[in-house]
Amino acid sequence: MNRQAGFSWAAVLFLLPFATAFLVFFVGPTFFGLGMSFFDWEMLSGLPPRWVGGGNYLEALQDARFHRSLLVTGLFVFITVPLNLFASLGLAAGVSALPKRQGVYRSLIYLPVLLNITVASLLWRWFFNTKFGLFNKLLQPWGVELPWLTDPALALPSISLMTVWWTSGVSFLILLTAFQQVSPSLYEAAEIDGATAWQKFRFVSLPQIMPVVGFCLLLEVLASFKVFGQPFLMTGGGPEGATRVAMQYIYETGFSFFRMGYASALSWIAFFLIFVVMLLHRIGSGQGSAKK
Amino acid sequence: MLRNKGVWGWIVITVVLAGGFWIWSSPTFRVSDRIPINFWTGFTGPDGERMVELIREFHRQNPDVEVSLQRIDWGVYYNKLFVAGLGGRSPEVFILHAGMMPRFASAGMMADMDSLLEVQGRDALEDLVPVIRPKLQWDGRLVAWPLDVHMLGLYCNLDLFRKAGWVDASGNPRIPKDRVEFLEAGTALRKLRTPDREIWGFGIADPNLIALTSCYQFGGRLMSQDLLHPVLDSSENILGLDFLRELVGKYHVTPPPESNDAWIGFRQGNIGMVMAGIWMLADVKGDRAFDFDVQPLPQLGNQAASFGSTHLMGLAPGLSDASRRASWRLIQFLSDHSLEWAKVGQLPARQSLLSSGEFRSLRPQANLASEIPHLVFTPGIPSLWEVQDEFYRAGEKVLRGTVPASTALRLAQEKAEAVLERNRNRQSLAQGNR
Repeated sequence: MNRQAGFSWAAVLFLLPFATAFLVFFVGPTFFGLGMSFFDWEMLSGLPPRWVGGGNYLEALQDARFHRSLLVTGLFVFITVPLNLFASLGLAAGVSALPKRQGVYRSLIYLPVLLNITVASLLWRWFFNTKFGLFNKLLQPWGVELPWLTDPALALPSISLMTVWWTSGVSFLILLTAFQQVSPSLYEAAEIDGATAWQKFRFVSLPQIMPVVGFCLLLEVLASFKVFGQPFLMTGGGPEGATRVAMQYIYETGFSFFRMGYASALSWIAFFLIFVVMLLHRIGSGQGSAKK
Repeated sequence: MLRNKGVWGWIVITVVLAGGFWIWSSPTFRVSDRIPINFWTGFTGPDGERMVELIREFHRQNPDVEVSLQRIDWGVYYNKLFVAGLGGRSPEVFILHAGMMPRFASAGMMADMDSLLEVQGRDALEDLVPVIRPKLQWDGRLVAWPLDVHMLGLYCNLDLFRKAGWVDASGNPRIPKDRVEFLEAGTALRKLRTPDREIWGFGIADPNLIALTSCYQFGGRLMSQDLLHPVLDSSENILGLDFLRELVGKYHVTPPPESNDAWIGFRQGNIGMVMAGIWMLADVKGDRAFDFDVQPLPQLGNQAASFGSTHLMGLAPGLSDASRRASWRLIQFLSDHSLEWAKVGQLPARQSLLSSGEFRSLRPQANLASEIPHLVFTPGIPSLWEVQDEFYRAGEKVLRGTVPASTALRLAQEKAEAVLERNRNRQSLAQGNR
């Protein structure tokens, strides 16, 4: 008991490698980035960084392209998160209700998650090709030809669709486990009361797995805010900037145009916005628990 | 306190392994007396395989040098290269495109090669194609050596040409040479479409480079002659972009631009002609689905021109004398063997190799040698990417028919001017390389 509660050198020693790496590769660069955001630093200019105070933040406030990228990111979150959550919830409910071969379906649904983002993105870029892609080929008998990635209004939802296919396996697996944790006696009691399948899902399963749904929601919101690879590889941010998300804008500012100070300021603004969303989620979850 | 002996055992094993690895990976631990050279490239496709073969051959001929070839995708290559440079860990030898050289050279990340060339003899410089020579210098110093030269070519599906009856008296496909022939060929190819299958005359496979090329052919440029001012909204550039838009909206020979997808359409045999880089050759060469050829671009405007670039080889600054000489040996070896390199696409940058019988029999690469005098390189300014980005954004809007070329280019001009104004205060960024 004493050893569990007291100070342990062994624990310190075991923590040391990770703590060192965490400090050097995460905490250090984070604060370095914060410092950098107050400087005008064009890394390849060969000139030393120049103190600009809040200049980069002021520039960001007037940067219409950055504002648009934030809006695009928000839209992506708004479209993708509910879609992803409903898809994984539906799939998990369906698979958990199967009497057998759950393992096969579990593997099949999780399979896309194992794909590398480049492979998945390039594959779907071809699926979405307006003139020569798979989807429009399938829709051809009905005379439908959708400009999936080439129409500014359709491009972002198309990327969301691909993202749902690619990532829903993660939430599906977590929710499936949650479904399997619900006590069978609750279903038996509901059956005795004459509950239908929908009523069992709505009034038995859902309340039981709600905390896990909340966890999945948070994971998906955070992952969606950080979206980068899919639009970068599938549309390059186009058409006409309709899919240029905040992370891509920051990446281009820092690593294509080498404006590291400004890119750092943009990163901190993005971090602040994600932090606010997390805080709101936390407050929302807290209120939910209080009601219960 | 640590009372458990097992814990101590694990700690000792971890420390011994970590220490051993650290010592083993330390450069001073090397027992080999060979000179190590790190060589970074972005050649990850079939060109990368060819580069591996060349390095093997270099090892056979230079047993005293050990080259570690690092292949990094172009998408992240420059980020890694510049981060390595900032940390003083640049590879001894590295590849970079001509357009990127000013940025790296202005940051002091490229070593002077003049003294090495003096030892070898400056005749080697005279052997390079003239259009490339200015691209090797920064601030009057030689800082790079070319591996190759590359450009756009007109890829043609010869089967579709024959089917469309676009052939000469002997039945050979007639590859268009000028604007009139190009539009006529495109129209003839377009007529092959059926209700079940869309066939297009011409596809915009790489909208950015094609927009640049079209503007170049009408006499347009990105920057003024003195490289001090952007000239994105020039009447020549407006004509160039308008013409591309007309291919879609007026002549109906081109499908609306779809980010790089016209290349897929060409591969599928649904597009008769695409303008694409010679570096795409390996992608289509193994394809036996249809007969194809690559020929010089037709002249669409009032002058022959194509986007051109070159893979340059640079040297890291601050190398030891031995390392520097060994690196130069590698650079010259690759330059000497650029005919081997040309087999995967890019053309040699040396006139002696271009005029050799072996190169002349290399098809379709040899077809494009006639384009070399007309190549237009992107301007050698450190702010190139920002200026280019504004042009590309404008090009996209015009090709999609969102705004007229004059409006899009005027906006791009304003943005580009703002970029240059911001960078004007930074002395090293204000320099240019014509």
